[in-house]
Amino acid sequence: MNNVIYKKIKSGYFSIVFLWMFFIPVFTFAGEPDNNTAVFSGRIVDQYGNQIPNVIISEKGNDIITLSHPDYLYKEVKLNSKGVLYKDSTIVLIEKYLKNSNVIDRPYGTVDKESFLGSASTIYTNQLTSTLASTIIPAFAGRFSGLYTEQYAGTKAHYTTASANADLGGWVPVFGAGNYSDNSQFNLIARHNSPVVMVDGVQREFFSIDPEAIESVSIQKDALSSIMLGMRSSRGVLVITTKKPVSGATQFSFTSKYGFQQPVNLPKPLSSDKYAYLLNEALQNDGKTPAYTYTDYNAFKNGTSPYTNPNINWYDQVLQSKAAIQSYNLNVSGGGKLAQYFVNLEYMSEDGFFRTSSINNFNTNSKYARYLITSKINVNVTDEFKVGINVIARIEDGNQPGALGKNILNAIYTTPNGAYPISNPNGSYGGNASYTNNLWSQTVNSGYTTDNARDGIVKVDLNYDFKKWVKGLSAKAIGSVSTQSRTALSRTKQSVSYKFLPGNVGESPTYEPYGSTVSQSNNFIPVSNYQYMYGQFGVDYNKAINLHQITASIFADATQVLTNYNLPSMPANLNGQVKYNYAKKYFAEAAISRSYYNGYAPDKRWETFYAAGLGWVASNEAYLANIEWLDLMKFRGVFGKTGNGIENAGYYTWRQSFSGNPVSEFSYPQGYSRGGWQLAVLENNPMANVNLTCEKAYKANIGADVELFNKQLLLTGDFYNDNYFDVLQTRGKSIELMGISYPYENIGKYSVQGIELSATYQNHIAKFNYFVTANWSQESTMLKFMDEQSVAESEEYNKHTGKPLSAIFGLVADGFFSSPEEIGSSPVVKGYTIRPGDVKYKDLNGDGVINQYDQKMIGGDKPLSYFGINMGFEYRGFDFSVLFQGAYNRDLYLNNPVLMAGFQSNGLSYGQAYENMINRWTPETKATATLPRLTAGGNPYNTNPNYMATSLWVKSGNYIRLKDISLGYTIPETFSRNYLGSMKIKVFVAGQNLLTQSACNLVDPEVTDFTNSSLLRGINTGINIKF
Amino acid sequence: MKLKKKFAFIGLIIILVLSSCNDYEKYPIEQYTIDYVFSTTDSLGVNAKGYLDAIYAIMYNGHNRVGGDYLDAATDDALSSSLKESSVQNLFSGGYTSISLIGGEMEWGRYYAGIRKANTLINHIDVVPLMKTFKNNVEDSIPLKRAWKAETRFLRAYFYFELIKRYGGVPIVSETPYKLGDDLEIPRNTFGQCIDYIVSELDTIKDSLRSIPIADVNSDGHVVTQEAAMALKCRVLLYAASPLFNERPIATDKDAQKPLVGYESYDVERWKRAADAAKQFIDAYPYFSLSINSSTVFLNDYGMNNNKEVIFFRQGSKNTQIEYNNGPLGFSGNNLGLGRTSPTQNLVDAFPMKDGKAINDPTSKYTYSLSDMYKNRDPRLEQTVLHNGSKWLNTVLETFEGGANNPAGATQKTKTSYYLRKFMGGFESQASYAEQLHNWVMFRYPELLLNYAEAINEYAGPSEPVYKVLKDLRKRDKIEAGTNAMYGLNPSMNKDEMRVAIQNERRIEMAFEEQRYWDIRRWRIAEEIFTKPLQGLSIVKDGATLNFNVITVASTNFETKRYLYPIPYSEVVKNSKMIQNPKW
Repeated sequence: MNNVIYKKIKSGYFSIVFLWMFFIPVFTFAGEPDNNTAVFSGRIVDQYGNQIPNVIISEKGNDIITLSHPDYLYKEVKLNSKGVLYKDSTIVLIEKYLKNSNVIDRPYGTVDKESFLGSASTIYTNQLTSTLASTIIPAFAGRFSGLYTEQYAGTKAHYTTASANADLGGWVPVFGAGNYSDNSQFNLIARHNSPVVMVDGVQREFFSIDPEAIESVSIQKDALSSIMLGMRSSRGVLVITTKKPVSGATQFSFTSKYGFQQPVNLPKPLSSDKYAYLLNEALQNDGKTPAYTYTDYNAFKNGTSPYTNPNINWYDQVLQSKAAIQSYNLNVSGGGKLAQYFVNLEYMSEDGFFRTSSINNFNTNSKYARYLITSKINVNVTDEFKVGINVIARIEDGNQPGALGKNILNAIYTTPNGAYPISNPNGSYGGNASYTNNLWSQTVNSGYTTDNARDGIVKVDLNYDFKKWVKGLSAKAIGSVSTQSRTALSRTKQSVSYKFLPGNVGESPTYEPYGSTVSQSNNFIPVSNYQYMYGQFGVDYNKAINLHQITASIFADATQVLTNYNLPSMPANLNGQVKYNYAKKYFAEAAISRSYYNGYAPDKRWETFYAAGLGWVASNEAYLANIEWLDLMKFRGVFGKTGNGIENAGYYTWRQSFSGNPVSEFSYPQGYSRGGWQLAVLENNPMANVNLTCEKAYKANIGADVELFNKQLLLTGDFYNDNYFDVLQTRGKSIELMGISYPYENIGKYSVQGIELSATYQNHIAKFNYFVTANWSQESTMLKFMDEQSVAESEEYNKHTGKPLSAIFGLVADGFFSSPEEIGSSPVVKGYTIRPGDVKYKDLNGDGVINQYDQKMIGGDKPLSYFGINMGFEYRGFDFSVLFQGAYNRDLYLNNPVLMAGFQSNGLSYGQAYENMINRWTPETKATATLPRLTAGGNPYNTNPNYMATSLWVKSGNYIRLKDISLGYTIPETFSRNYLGSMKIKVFVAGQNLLTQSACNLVDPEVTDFTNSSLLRGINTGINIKF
Repeated sequence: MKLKKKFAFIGLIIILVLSSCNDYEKYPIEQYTIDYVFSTTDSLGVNAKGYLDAIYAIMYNGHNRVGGDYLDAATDDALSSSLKESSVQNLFSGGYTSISLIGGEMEWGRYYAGIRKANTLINHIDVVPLMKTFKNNVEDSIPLKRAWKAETRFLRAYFYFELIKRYGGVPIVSETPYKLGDDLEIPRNTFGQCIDYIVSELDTIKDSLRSIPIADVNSDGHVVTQEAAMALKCRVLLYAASPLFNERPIATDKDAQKPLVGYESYDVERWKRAADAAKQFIDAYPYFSLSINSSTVFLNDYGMNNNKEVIFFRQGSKNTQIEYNNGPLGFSGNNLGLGRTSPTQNLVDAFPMKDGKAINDPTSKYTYSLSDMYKNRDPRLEQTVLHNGSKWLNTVLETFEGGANNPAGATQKTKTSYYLRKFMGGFESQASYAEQLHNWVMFRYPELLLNYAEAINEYAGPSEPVYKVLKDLRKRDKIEAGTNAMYGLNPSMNKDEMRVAIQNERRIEMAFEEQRYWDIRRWRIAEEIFTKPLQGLSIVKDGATLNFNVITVASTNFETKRYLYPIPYSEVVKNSKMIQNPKW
């Protein structure tokens, strides 16, 4: 029989202090006649040396005790022959990969998990750190239920031009002004909204931060969690909590990571001979003369004339296949009773993919580097008065070729392999009238441009407990100031390209210059300047009467944001909140927010929002409390009225205003010298809407949490139904006779509903600890009101109302025309010369012509579903984790004509085409063709007839990715203790985006635009040292 | 308790500091309201003038206007060299519907935006204490404010005219700018009402406008003048009398469309009104005469270098943009030309021989041959197109197949062997392009003369004044007078023959000036014109000889409904009173 010692420590401040001196109590081993009693005492600590309560210790066979705890990995320890380990010995338990914390960080303050009534999904440090990237967002994919990430660019954007408010970066929900965000690569969507990001209790849309310094990230989607955000409360909230100072001996942790990344899913250009062949085919299809002769074709094919008939894969020429990424982190924490600190230093850099040349003594490759210092100090001035100071400083440096990476990628994408040679026989850069700026010259000979961002953030927390006067009363105040300045340095130049003309036999070749020479500049560009001030003051009152516990708080906050030359944006909220529970069984919570924003018309600046929730912890009922395998069974529900404003208010759009513009389309040149332009005074578009106010929603969420078998199995499920109203739309009767465009008005309605499920199982087989966690979310949307024009009853399919928000409307493609007779007898889109091989569209209303009334929903009709599965194990110091992530019911609309049709007009010539063009329609391949006949110059009939979408370009966006995989090895504790002075060392290797299976292989399922840098696949290795 | 107070105090301060204490203005200073635009204290009217300038700018500069091409590249005079389906090609071939409109040309909303701006100015300008005055040929001291208001009314009338020549009768909207929530389901006014409105506006404002010559051409040369107003009136009445709107409006599906697409019955007196307007203009403004050299008309403001034929223009900048866009291919560096416009053989053939006789006229003293066709031609040909053998940038152009200015390969180049010459600076013998003033001339004296000749011919048949117009033009352009001093004109033409002669003269004199595109419509001859395909030359060099082949470069079938543009689909679907044009 094993003796089980089960020690329960009541949670609470006092207990934690007590734990510093906690010893495992005496216990008796059976079958040891020599020593009836053997005393074992020691400390059980975590990796940081903090004592762990509630460990279950039992005996297993001879001299072995086992230790288990819901939050730590199972461990076996061998006793010595006497049954005594050794006095005051220390057993280290390692945290489980998946943490199940009892506390949830809310936007403001924390709450016990038990009394939390909303819908949250939380991840911790471990799940963030194996991903090496310039922001923490890639680590989010697949880890949360209810948070959908979609990446649209592989690397961060460089901001090098003076910006208007709207392009300060990131994903701005509707239009107009937004808070500064450093995210330029991802859409983050929770229940159809982009969540507000709170870092340590202050709104900051920051993602380029050090994952090692983050304690947890939690997405909270219900009305009650976000209600304190007032006019932003519809959006849900992403709560990022950085690591807190821990008192105790000084702990150092050093992590170094180094790896390589490579672009995936680059398009496959046609070789120049195939290009010439297909372009000729395209021209002949339109009855035009072919552009290339047979001699040209052969020269392209055999490479016999590389200067006049080159074949250059610009992707290979300009981009390298891999680039380095690295990060170094050092953090130190410690302190005593009076003060604790946490200091974190980080350097991170990510190289780009542009090839460089030894002709430069400066770097022309793109690069992103980040220096980050975080420090947190908590001071307990007295028992009642606590002060916290948090300082963050960040420097971001970017670099790119002077011609700008985005432009180069765009040029690579559209330049045919045979357009011009890299260089001419005399060494000059190749080019011609259509391509006046040589791509290789743009890459290595255009100087460089740097962009720099500097952030400084200071936050002070003051907490005072009035327990001496009134028990349970406390007050807090927060002040935060942050500033950011973004600048750029442009040291660019440009050189002339030459067209090589070989001349006749005997003549010497000539070179025609194209483009212009621009000598190296040195410009300083102020990009943006941003200042954010935040203040908060609150009073909490806590009272327990018998089993009734009540907490009431009020607090007010105000923000002032200054962006460039704009007037300050000043949102403020007055909030009140009451929480009640009876015997930890019945919970109730209600909150109200009076929210203010100075960007609306004076009588529209205040709005009231509210939310309330109820919860029942059934497992705390007497009749369930004794079921040993049931740890928690909780039911909860939240309902509230929330708002979505501020970011979509525009800039004083409620005021009909005029602006003077010295140079615009509407200014007028003046005088003979034409040196000056007349000032144009323009009525600002759109016209003012005095009634503009924030969008609103009624959001409801119900959910259940179950924890079973000593928390080995955790299940959570949520169902939500959110009804949005007063949504900004332009009115249907936007008649142009008005003479000015119509403003957004609060008229739209839509609903979002869905299910979010997650399950986690963690257990061990002997020493083999393993876990598996999975989440699945589904979201369906419906447009409930849009001010549409009425349609005939037979054309109901034409209506958007009642369809999902994601619906794509367009014509239905029905194969290709195979003969002129078929074209003659079929309804067609007017205004085009249609030939065999062109797309045949369905005449849905049977009126004999294809027009706007034949558009129906051709995609985006299914509820978006996404999921993640993460599993792994720990065994004898090895730990392994793998994450699969994916989405389905997702449609892409690939209407990019360069990729889908090719041969677009480019300069004075025709642009690039890609390998997928091989599958075009020809009379011979009509049975198997997947693309229509080739045309040159951008005939829109097959891609975008009369500006309508067509179902031919709707492709499934379903995919599953091996998002993250990592393997680590921790050097055994005994070895560390004996030989390394207790230094704990872990080495690891990890990979991101290693495999993707997607329904459409033309493009990456997420980064679908080839003029953005493509998705990156990476592998990295590193070491972590703690002492 | 003390502490508690302290905290409340701290909190209060934080909130106060953040929310109330700032030194900024209440509303953005750069986004002022209408009281500032039309200010009661702005005695110079700086902002009101800026607002007026923005209304001026709604008038298009016609150089490479429609998707990068001249509008007339959608007629039988030229086509776009662009490799992609250009806007003018769609205009030419009918590649548009009520939902796929041609940007840069089917600008329904742009003109209503202009009308709104004009209405705003007219409604608010009165409060501005503008003190300046001016003098015109009627009065000595007129407040400048009156001229500004009249200029604005001209522009509004001009915008309406731009609409009706495209759409027929259009809604004449309220003269008070609309507010959000106003009922905008406004019906179209009849064609006749629109014409009457424009003409009455122009007559009303006539005497409030400045008149040519304007004292300070440098800064005020571009303003609307009395002469511009009367020139517009003349053009409006000419259009109203033309067959498309007067004698033979297009057939309608519904009765309600009938008064919208033109007059419901023919009235020959409309030609009389047009002729009178032109005659009045010619008599009232003796300042105008034909410039000595027609090729420099477009390079100078009026009054400069003896340029006395420009009546109204939209100001352009000094640059080499027209040379860059339309100059021949085959030059590099600063002389780079994109050869955007390819004039057709049809246009070249329209130019007579040097004695004024048509190329196929056996009575001409010059013989025309395909292989030497540019010899002894109307000098205006050289001023309008560049052809194989033309001198340009001190080089003899080679537009034969594979020649320096017509290279092989997939590149934009001439489709007809011709490049545009008109509007460009005199770079025949220059080594490189230099900046050139590029105004867009909207009204010039020859148009008025031709308007007069056309209207009087239609009203009363060919008469001496009609011949005089044609002879004057030909004389100015150095066509040989001939022994009978008829400049190649047949002295005994009937009305129909004279109509053809006037139409041809108008075509070659005003090529690329956005006349022919509208002329072939208002004359209702587009269906007939486009039965003939657009032609170019393929010149093949064989050793030292050039072989000239006439090739077809484009053709279209002009559907009758295309005489008027479709009203934008969204306007019809949103406005229950909006009637679409026939067959769209």
